[in-house]
Amino acid sequence: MENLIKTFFIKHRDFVHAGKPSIEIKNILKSLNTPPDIIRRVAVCGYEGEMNVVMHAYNGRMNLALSATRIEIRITDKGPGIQDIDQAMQVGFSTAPDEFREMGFGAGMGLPNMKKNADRFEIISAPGEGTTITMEFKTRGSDG
Amino acid sequence: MDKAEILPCYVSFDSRDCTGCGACVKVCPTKAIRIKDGKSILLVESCIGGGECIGVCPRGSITPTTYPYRQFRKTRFPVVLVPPVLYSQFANVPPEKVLKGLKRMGFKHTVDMSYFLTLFKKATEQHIQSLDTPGEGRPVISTLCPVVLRLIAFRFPSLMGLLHPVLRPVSLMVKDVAAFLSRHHGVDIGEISIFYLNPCPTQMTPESSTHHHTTPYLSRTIGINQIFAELKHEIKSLEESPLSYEPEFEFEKPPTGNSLLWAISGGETAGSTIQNSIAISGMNQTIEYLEKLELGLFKEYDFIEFRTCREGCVGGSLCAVDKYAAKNNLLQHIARFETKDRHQKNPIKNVYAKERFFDSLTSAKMEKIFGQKKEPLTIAELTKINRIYNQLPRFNCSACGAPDCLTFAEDVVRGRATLLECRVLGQKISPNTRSKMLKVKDLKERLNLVLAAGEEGLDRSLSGGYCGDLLSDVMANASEHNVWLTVQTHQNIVAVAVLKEIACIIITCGNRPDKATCHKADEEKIPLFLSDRSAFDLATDLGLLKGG
Repeated sequence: MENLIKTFFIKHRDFVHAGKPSIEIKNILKSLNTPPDIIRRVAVCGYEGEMNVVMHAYNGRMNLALSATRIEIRITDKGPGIQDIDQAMQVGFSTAPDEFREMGFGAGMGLPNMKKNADRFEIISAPGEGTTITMEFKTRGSDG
Repeated sequence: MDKAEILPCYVSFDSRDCTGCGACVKVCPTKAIRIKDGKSILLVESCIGGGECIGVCPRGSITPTTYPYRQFRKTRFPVVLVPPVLYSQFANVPPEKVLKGLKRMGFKHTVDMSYFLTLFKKATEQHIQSLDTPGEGRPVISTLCPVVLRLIAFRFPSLMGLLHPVLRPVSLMVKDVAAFLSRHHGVDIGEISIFYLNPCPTQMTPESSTHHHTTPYLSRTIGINQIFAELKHEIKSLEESPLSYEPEFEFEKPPTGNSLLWAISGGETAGSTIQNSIAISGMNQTIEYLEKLELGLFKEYDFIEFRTCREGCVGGSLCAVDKYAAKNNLLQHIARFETKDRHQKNPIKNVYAKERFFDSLTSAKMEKIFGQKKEPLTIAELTKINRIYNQLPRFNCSACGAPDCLTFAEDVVRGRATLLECRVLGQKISPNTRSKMLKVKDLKERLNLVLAAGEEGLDRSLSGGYCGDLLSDVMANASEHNVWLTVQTHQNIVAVAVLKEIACIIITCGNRPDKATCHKADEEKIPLFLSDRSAFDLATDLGLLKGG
């Protein structure tokens, strides 16, 4: 059962506000005294997910669901979708245009990095139908 | 160990001058200040000594905790430690003269900190060269600014692992100099008193901050603005009667160009072999970049310098002159010197021997002392905070006394505030809810009542009331949490109140209860109030209190 659900909105090409939702999630987890290593992994995954929406999709949502034993981040966008998920999951593969690469993004590290840091990683996508990424993190706490 | 017991108060609030404007509440990076009853109060366990509140207070009623500096003359062997920022306080006065001025003031030795800062810089360069894997352990975070250290321990504990592991120069300096001078002069180390001239209120008692050991010598900090006038006077007197004095030791010599840069933002890595670094100054900017670091950004940099004061240490709240003027003074000094390092590699390996590195113990200790001390919230509490927050106006006006609406919501859930304190929401709350939020003790003042007994029940909450002198009528019609107005005085009224869970009793028309009634009310913790007014008058006022 999920006890706390919060939704954040992500705008396409909004580099100025990108990261704010992940920072807010980080601060929520801190107030619950979540261990720092879990916070760090959630923050990295959240931010990578946000950046993907900012760069590739039109608009998106980030959902945080919290329970005593788990943290779930779900990022849903109305973007172009991914042609070949296996290829997208490879380190170094990126479809980011040069303008984003010049800003230091689009190195093809995002998805593999998210998979590496989450305890469970699921990606659903089809061309023209957008992408949904669900990541789960197990917390050790029993009372949240 | 309770943090409040071991931590000094970095700042003190003078409530006589405080207007409760809330300027300090808003700027505190750890949300350690609230307004209660129109005055600022400090939540000591959350204060990290950032000093932001000192500068914004329009009345100057917040002051840093300081040491009465003139007492240095009463110590037997006073030694003064001089940070580069001191030289920035004087236009067209070479550092050498500043040191002589301090000698003339009565300090036995002056120690120029830049000697140790340069050692520190070399050790930093070596440390960064030793990081092999790209990205791993990067960026190294500078530990020079004590507020940054505490901010990380308090708000960003996941970044503790990135802290520069080399012992901070101030710690190194105090330790070495005290030992050296004790040996050299053949005096007991306990006789030596070290005074650190400080641009900020954060190190007012360095023995309790991040030092490895408790020190055998006295060590105190003095604000630069405390000694400024006297020092300026002494420097001027050097023109008429010069002081012929040649530095005995290397650390007594005046600094050279590069080390002066440490007083301004970016100075830590200027002219070093560390190419890939950024320097951030200002409290808000520091927090912004620490947040981003926690998102995994900036791994491409080797080193990040943080200073919570704008422009670096020249912006410290205990500096005597304007930060931009001070910066200009420094740049003028530097233009006169060659910008080169004070000493080359040879002594460094010895000085930064093994014990000069931060160990994991230090970092654990720091987290223990400066880490978050609030009880962690539960998910249920967090949900409640969210629900309250969504009802709040979200103007972040601070009229309630909390820095923003979210913190106010948390305060309400933690029992530190009541919803009524929100000026906007307080107006909107329905009369019924409002009366529920009134406490028994609120009646005493508002209705001008005399408390006869039952003091322990004053914190009960109230909801509605009943007027009646027939006990069976009251038994039938009064509700729980009611205030009961009656002319009866015998002890059975207390029994009725207990049975009906009545919040408190007001005895009207000047009637007085007997001793037995008072005794019973004390026993049952039912507040018993007295009033000369009639039940009708009091009930009318109660209705107004309800907001009806």
